[in-house]
Amino acid sequence: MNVNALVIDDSGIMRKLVMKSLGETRLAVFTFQEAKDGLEALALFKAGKFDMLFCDWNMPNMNGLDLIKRIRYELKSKVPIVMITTEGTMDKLEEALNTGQVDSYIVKPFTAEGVGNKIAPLLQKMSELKKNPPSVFARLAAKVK
Amino acid sequence: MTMTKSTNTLGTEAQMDAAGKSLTEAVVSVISAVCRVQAELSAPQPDVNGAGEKIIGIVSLMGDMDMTVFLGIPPATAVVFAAKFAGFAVPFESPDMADAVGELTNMIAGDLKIRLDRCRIKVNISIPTVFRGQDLIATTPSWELINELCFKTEYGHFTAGLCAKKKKP
Repeated sequence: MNVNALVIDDSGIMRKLVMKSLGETRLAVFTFQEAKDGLEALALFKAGKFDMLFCDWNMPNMNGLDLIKRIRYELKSKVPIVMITTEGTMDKLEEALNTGQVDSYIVKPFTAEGVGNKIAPLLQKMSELKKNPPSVFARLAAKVK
Repeated sequence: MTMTKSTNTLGTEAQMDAAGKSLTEAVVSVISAVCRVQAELSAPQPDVNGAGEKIIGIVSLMGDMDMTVFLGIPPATAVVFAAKFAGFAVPFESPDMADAVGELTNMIAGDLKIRLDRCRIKVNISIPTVFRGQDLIATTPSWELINELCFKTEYGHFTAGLCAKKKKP
């Protein structure tokens, strides 16, 4: 399975670590684009087609929470979003998880195994959706809902 | 980031003690988890707490008590910590080094936030700032330095500290 992922973090070394860990999971063939803040990510997201987003929480210019709100509510995208966070922002993350804005999360520091455990269910869901896309009626019903 | 700020931004004695103790635990926990290095408190070292080259990460914590957390690492130790953190060699002068120390400080601040929360001290954390220099001394005008701690590891010493304005008794 090919996955075009957008990795968003103001720290270059964290972007490298996320990409390295995802590659090491061997769960999919990942291609990456990188953004150093929410604003840059939003521009890339509007211009490209991404299967999955990996987004840091604390960033300058536009933080992770503001970015996912723009993606979910303005752009109406259902792209799977995985937040990358520290223990210190878990309390705010819970709200985003409960309201469905975020699909999963990775807590820093993380290992490739931990990342794999978090994204495997999302990749499974994506794979099933690709094999059995929802009917036009189901898509319409979801839109109305 | 939304910052909520209460009117009580000065530390009481109890809050100061809790913050100092929590910082030690946060540093040991993060360095162990991220760099897989055991750190323990040590006596201050003149070449770590005072003169000498260092890279320093700083994160502000704002809320029930306003504080600044810093992490200062000499070059030889920083290179080992960054390599263990990243999984690849990180030269001291590279931008990746600043990112690594910024992330370490961010994680320590995140861990500290959770520990302070358990002590009923609510704070939000800023994004990290990193700078590098020679003979850097941790001091801030009008802010009282709670603690500048020195830690010992098998790869050398490093320093971590907390600045906060103390409430007058």
